[in-house]
Amino acid sequence: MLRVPMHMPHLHFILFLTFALVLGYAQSRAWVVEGYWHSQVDLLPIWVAYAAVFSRPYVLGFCLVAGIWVDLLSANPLGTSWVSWLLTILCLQRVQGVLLRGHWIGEAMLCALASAMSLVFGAALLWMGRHHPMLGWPFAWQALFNASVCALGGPMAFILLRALDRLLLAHPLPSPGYHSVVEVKRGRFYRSVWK
Amino acid sequence: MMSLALLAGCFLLALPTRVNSQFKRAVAGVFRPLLGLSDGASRQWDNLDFLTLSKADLWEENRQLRKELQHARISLLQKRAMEQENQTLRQSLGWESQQPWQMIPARIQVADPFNWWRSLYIDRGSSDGVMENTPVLCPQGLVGKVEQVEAGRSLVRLVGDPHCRVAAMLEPAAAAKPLRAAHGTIMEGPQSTWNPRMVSFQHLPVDIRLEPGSQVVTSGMGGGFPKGIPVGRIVDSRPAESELFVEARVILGVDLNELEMVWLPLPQNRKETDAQPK
Repeated sequence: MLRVPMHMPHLHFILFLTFALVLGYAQSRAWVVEGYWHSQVDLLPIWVAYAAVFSRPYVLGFCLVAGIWVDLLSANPLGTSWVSWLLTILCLQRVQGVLLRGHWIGEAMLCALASAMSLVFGAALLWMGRHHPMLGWPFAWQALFNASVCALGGPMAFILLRALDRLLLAHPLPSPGYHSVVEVKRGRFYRSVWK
Repeated sequence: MMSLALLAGCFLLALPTRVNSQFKRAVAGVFRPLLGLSDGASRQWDNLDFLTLSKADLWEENRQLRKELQHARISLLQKRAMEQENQTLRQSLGWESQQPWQMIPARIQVADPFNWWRSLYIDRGSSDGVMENTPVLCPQGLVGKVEQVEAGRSLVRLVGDPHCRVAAMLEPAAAAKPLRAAHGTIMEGPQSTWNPRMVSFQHLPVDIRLEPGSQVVTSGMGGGFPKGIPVGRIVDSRPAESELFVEARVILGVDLNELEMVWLPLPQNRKETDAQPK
């Protein structure tokens, strides 16, 4: 069963953010992928999904810094990524009660959902701001492709991020006096000694 | 806090594009150390190719480059003679002489990570004399134009992006009626999102016969791009919906996925010392 971190020290946040920044830069250098699949790969929605569900206290800092970074690497107007990510996170936090935490199917679905939503929100923001992005039927393929890639890569990335959690985060110790697996059974001839 | 961040983002997005890009430039200044670090690391990564190359490959490449250099020198001699002749003819006709250009090389830093733009960043900026709307070229033809300029880098919109439209024409030798120029506009087409090399050539006159494979070059109209830069080749054509014009599909000469270095033509008196590659 996955343990939800109680707090996130700064070192953990810095490492989490650094991974996201490096990934953002690396995927903007890997334009060769587009030639084969007619679509860019964007794995940052996995980080967005993880931050939404497990790293609530630092979600805003992550969205602002990583969102600005991604916008600086693209022709997006400033604010596109962080607004679309924050909207995605708000939606994911609404449904997190029904998520299967710790199960790879649940994590894959979560990452696919985050990918599709961040793309749709980003496109809608640009379209409403009259920035004339290139949308159309191929956009549906690109959203589907990226959601599939995030669904495949999400559970693997979650394993790494969870390892980071275990390494750097303090978790509450289980109480020694209470064992949830111990069950007291009383037979039909039970008589309390206190009577 | 989250609501405040959302509001701030929406406010930024609602600003006019020019104001937003000024904000972006200011924020890029804050992130400059990180951008410089990433660029340096990617340069080192690119240099790792050197370790895998054998001496024989390098020697072969060197021999090939020497041969190409000799060809280039000979064609330059021919070009100089033609330029002199052109200058003399211009003087005799009383035409204004053309301003010479100086080509500066630029390395591609990053390509746009989003599917809805066709753009990239290059490592030349205002400190190198780059200005907005400077054309961007490579040996195969037109790549795009500079849209935003920062101190050490510039945003290039590629041909096929909605923000980069090019006044173009059929190469005079390729037009069926050479006396009538076939001018039009190269812009993003319905297939541009799917295939970045496929663009649309629109607003062509109806009485021009377009042959597949004909060369399309910049027309120089509007002043955005110099005349005669190759753009691509005609694939097919059909009447536009309004039936007042003909539109054609053009495959770009430049494979935008394989670009590594581009060239920027700048006025020669702008920066004499910046011709050296970084």
